[in-house]
Amino acid sequence: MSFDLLRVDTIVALATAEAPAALAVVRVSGPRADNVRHAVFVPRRPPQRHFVATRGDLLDERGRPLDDCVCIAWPDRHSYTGEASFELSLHGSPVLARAAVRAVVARGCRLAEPGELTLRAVLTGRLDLTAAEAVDDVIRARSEAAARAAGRALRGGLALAVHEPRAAIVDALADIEARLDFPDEELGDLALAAHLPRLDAAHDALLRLLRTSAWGARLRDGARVVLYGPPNAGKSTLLNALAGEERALVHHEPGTTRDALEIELELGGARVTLVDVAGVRPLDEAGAVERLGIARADQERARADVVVALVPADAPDALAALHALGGDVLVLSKADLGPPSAIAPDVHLVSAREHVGLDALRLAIERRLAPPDAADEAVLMRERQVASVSGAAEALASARAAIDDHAAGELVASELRRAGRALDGLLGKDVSSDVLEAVFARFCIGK
Amino acid sequence: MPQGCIGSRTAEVLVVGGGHAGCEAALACARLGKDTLLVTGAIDRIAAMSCNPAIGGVGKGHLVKELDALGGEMARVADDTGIHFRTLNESRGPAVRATRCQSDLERYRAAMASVVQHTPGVRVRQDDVVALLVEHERVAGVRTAGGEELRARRVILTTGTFLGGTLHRGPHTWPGGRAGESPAAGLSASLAAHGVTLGRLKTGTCPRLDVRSVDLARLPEQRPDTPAPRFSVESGPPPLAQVSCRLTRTTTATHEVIRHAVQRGSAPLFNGQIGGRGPRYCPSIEDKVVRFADKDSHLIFLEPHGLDSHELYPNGLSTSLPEAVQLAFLRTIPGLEAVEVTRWGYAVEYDYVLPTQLDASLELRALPGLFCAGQINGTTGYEEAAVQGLLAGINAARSLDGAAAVVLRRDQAYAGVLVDDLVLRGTDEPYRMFTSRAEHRLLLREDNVSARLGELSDAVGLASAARRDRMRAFEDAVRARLAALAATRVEPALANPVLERAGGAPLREASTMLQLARRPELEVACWWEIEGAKGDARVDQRVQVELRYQGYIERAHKDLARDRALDETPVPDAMWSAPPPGLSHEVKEKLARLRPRTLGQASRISGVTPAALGLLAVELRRRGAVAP
Repeated sequence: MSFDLLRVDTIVALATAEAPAALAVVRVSGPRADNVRHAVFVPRRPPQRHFVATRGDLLDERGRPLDDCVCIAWPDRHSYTGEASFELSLHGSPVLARAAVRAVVARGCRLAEPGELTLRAVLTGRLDLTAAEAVDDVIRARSEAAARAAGRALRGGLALAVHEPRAAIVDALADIEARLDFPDEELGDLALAAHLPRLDAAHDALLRLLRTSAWGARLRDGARVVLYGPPNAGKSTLLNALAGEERALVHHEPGTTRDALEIELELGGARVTLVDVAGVRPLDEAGAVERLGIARADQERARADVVVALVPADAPDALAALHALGGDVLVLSKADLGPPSAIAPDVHLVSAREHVGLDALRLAIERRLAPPDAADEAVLMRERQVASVSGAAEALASARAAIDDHAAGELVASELRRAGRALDGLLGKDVSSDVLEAVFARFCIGK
Repeated sequence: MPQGCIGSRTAEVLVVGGGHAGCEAALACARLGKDTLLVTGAIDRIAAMSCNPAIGGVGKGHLVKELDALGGEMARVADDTGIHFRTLNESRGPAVRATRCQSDLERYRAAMASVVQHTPGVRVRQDDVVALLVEHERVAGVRTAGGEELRARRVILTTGTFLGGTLHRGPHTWPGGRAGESPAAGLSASLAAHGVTLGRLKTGTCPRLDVRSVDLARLPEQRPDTPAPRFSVESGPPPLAQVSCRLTRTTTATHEVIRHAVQRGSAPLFNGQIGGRGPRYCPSIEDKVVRFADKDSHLIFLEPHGLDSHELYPNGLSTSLPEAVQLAFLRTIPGLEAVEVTRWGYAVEYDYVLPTQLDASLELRALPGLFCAGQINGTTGYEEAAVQGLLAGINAARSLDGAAAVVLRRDQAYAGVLVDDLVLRGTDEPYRMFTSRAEHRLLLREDNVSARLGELSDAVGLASAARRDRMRAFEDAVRARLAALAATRVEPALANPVLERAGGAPLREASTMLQLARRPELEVACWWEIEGAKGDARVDQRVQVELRYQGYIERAHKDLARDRALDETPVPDAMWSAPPPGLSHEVKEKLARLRPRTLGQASRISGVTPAALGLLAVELRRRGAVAP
């Protein structure tokens, strides 16, 4: 366990609830806050001034625009935490907020512990906490929310999923440690090779678990399925047909949907947010307002879990246009207007108006949203869980490399211990005492 | 200092017990200028090695070197009286590489006892201590069996296995601290009466053999290393002749004899006679035979008691079986067919103070002024005892001066791991040091002990100036060597023949010695060959470790930064009397009981979550205490 009382790290936390809302606020504080801000936020009209709400683009970890947002920056000693800090006010999607947190983390920040921002305010003397109770409330609220979100069954499943990887680590460590601490015992030569298959399997299991994290986020917040295509491709009609109600304004005039329209529905037992966006076409053909809509559509597409691309079946070269558009699920729409000139096996032919091909399309989307293999055992839902598991996987890979290099046993042990400790953070166990237990249980040691 | 009132029955510090902890405690106090009275049940038995005639080992050798750096005596005496030195784990990495020696048991005892008796400021007295004197809720001295009151402002208890000691062999049970010596009776009751909670532990020792009845010539020899590795920075080559140990092993016949005895109910360990918990890593032979029934042979080291002794210590044969069974199983072992026993093995059960009642200075929270060190705190081993005695002595002396206690960090010394584990986690079996107990193992090496403890040793001022100068000179030499390596240019023509022989890639252009020294295939001897001059082996080996482990060491230091900040944040004791609201009942109760001195200590108590720690930090700030 560690707690950064010297305020060495720059930390980030989502300041608002992890639930859909009008706004989501991400707060970053610490010595590198200004550097991080310059890396993730591009003001519309630079330079950005302290204390002033500034509009601009939030960039993801690869520098691609993530959202149009408002940023306020504070200099050292003048913020809530008393440190250099900034806040980003985003559109209120939890998915977007988490992507923003990830972007900030990618620039060298660490996720704040519950209540840690308030703790910083106290440590800098910024907040005269006449009562520690306030922080206590914050901490308790956060951990109860965490407890609720994780859920008992899910935690049990996660513990089960990392049980074998951790046991593999403990067993390999016991073998190494017994020989390091008891060199005069007849324990035989250390055969780390015998542990390799199990350690490799452990590594694979952790990677598999990591791949559930995207699905874990979906499980919590619902998946975003974006209907994407040229104007008048029938996206809104399809949305209504899938949702089973008149929701989107449908019109024959191209470009009717200028802003994104969202609708929530159940698909295969999972919560899905179906997003209908403005039709996309070359910008020089679009008016000023429509262009904004198109930009928004592209953003939505970038953060979607599933992109359903649509082109009207009667459009010229419809199939080629559809493939050019690209997407996770390809649809030739408005099939009622006449058969397409060409069709391909990966393309769905749908008539929303006649309710033809809708079931197959639903199934195709569900398949895209299906959980990865490991998810029937456990799902990583929290960024902190992801951090623990990826830390363990990284340390295991490093241990593997040390073994391959024929490094001294103490170095291999050091990396395995790091892996074990990372998982300990997830489980609240102590790898050190477990290793000693294993040593004494397995080896006849001592004189 | 109340010099005026010091008489034969009064001292500034009173040390109860003359074992390995007691000797270090008394010497530390006296050398730090405190009038010290050591009370022991048998002056002739000061510094006796009750069990095997050996010092050091993996984790333990580390402790002895740390003790040397801080000014303890064990390392010097072990170096002077050792008759067989080895470096263990030579090939398993520098962090687990460790020094161990066989001691001439009688010479060790005599040499240490002589130092104790000749050190100015130490007085020695033979008496049985039966009770504590407590005045105004502080310890004020002790009462002897004769009813005499010995008064002191600080008392250090180092009672070893003597506290309520009971010996077992076969069906026989009798009171004793070790063979031939009576236990400390009454003291347990006195501790309990003052609110100290005691537990009970068990340990045991081997029978001793008459070397003349053993066919040594038949048995494989284990030779000492040459040159002999040393514990103390001050020691030269060993003054005594160096001898070998012999190896033998138990047979299926041995195990048959033992199993039969256990089945007959004559093993105190298995028939309910012994209740205390023994060390899992130092099991008796009957334990090994029963618990690891599939193993049909165990290795036995035959260790000489000394150059003038006819006794052998058969390491690996600790037992409390009846005499007849001991003799019977011994005679099934190759080389021991006609063996005669000089002393029988036995087990001892004794009281210990649950060490979570101590704070990190080894002072009992319930009885200010009373320190505990060694087996009384639940440890086993001469080295573990000695280093606790040293720390208790230093801290008792410093507390008389109003100076802050010396508390070693877990990333600084095994001694720090030892004390931290004891006072925060406690133990329910005899605690022995293992390197795997240290999460910062790569940083805690024998080779860098002067870097880890040199500055602290200067501040404590217990080690002699000569010893501290040696440590400083060594660290200076390491730094100078690193600088010299970086400044030395090497032409390919010079290096390539050596590189080729070592199986390394040749240089294409000129490089520096530092770059070459990082190469894993180049041993220190190769550096010298390229440089054309032999360097200081100790310095160069240390430099080599620093270079090869640089990446790991840097990562370890990074991991450490935050832990250390916590360890450097003190928590006033008053916090535990009125903990901040919001902590769970369980955490509050634990903190009130264990009373950690720093946030780091609090963080290592099981159940203390980051959130709870955050609350504590906030409360610290609120109360105006120093927070980072």
